[in-house]
Amino acid sequence: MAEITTLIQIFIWGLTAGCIYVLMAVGLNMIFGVMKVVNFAHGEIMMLGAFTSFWVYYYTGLNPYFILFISMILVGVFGVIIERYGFRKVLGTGKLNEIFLSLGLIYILQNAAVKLWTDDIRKINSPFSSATLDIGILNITYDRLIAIAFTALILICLYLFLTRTDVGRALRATSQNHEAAMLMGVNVNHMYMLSFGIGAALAAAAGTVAGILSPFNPYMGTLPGIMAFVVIIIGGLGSIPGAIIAGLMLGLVQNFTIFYFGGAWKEAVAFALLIIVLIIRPTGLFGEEH
Amino acid sequence: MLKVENINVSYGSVKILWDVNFHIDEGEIITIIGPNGAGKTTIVKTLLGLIRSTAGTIKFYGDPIHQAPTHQIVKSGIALVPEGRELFPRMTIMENLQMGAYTSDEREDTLKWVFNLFPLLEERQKQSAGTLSGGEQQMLAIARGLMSRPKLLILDEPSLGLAPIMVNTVFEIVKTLNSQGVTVLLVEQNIHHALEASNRGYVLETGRITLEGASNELLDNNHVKEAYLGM
Repeated sequence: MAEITTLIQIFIWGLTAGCIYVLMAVGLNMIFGVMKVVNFAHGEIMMLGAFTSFWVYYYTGLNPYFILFISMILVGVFGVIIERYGFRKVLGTGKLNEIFLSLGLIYILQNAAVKLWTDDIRKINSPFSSATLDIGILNITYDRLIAIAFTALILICLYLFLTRTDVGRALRATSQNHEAAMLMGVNVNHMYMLSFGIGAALAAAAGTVAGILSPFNPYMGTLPGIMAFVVIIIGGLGSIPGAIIAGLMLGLVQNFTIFYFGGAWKEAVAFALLIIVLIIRPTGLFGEEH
Repeated sequence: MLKVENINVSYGSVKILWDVNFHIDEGEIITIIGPNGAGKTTIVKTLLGLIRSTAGTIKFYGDPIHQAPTHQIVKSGIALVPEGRELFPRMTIMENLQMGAYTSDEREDTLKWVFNLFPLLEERQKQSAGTLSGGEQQMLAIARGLMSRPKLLILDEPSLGLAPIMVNTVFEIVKTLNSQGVTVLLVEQNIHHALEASNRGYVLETGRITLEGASNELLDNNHVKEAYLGM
């Protein structure tokens, strides 16, 4: 029986890791869909989210799960500023300019974070950090369950926004057909800012959840930033359902791989999965063929 | 209502439009006809601010709009049904129509009017736009254009790629809309149909307006007959 409880434990670990990937990938995908910009610095925005939460926690001592929302707003505004005064300026001047802008941002944000917060290892302390849900011999920390619940909540809010409001629909329309959206009277510049703001806010949520679950430093975003790309390519560029399923899948596959084959295979298996999906279905699981 | 004066447009160093002049009065159906590559779509895109003119003015109800961003031009009352429909394929029919009404407040009434014109769209409102046939997509594209309650509706090649029976339907709809007070600019390669459906026409050839006049006169014009109607 111990075997089954272990498997459930790994399943929950995989799911929480997957939630962080999902929050990252959905935002990255939205930015790509609306602006066709590839933001390599998305992991660094996640890191900023973790440090913003850490900072607010340090000065206020509020519940970190409440701070998560403050961090989403602050980092979301930061995302809007990056779009307006960074990416917007080079939009349409060539893909390389956009790529180097986002690559440059990685190091600017990392260095700024080291300057502001040093590269010591930090942790956001949750009031539930030692509380566990015990079912028989199975015990799961509340923090992991809250992480899953918050991810679900955020995704439901995003879904309702995208399908039930005019602005949300306009965001989807812009991502499906840029020029047609303009012809409907949509100001696409506003959509650019909005997509970047939402993407950054989701990354901040991912960073905060990651910072509650495990210690971090200014380089915490590098790997999740790359994994978010793996997720959106597996799920299909531009597809939000694809990003959700692929994100959870990657989290689960990685954690079961660690259990059965050891931690050394954790990153390799992600790319193996990517290559297999691309060979079988080059557009990704839910990608549209054009 | 719309006055275009000496519009010039270039793509890089290639000049597409040369001193184009035309006007549209309220209540008219105007057509711009001409062969492929004459610059018809360029005129339309310039009207909507998707392409910028290098010289000339465009006035809508007396207000210059040639510098305005596209979303403001749409808000001022011009709607374009673009060549190739350009629907939102992964949205439902209803969502496409809601997008059409993005700038408008009187959604419910407009929706009733549009569903009355296109009953099929009401039946299938939950179907995704990408799954419609060519003719149905064109209906949806026109309906979506109407959702903003435009004063001027511009249709770019609405008959392109449609079966002959659908082509007739499209031109019938244009006449119906016009009888309900919508001013229409019809840009067409299907010259015979376009001239029959319209009041006045302009012939565009290699970026210049070469002929203009009442549509029934253009139908009788020797140049038009020889060059476009194969007579």
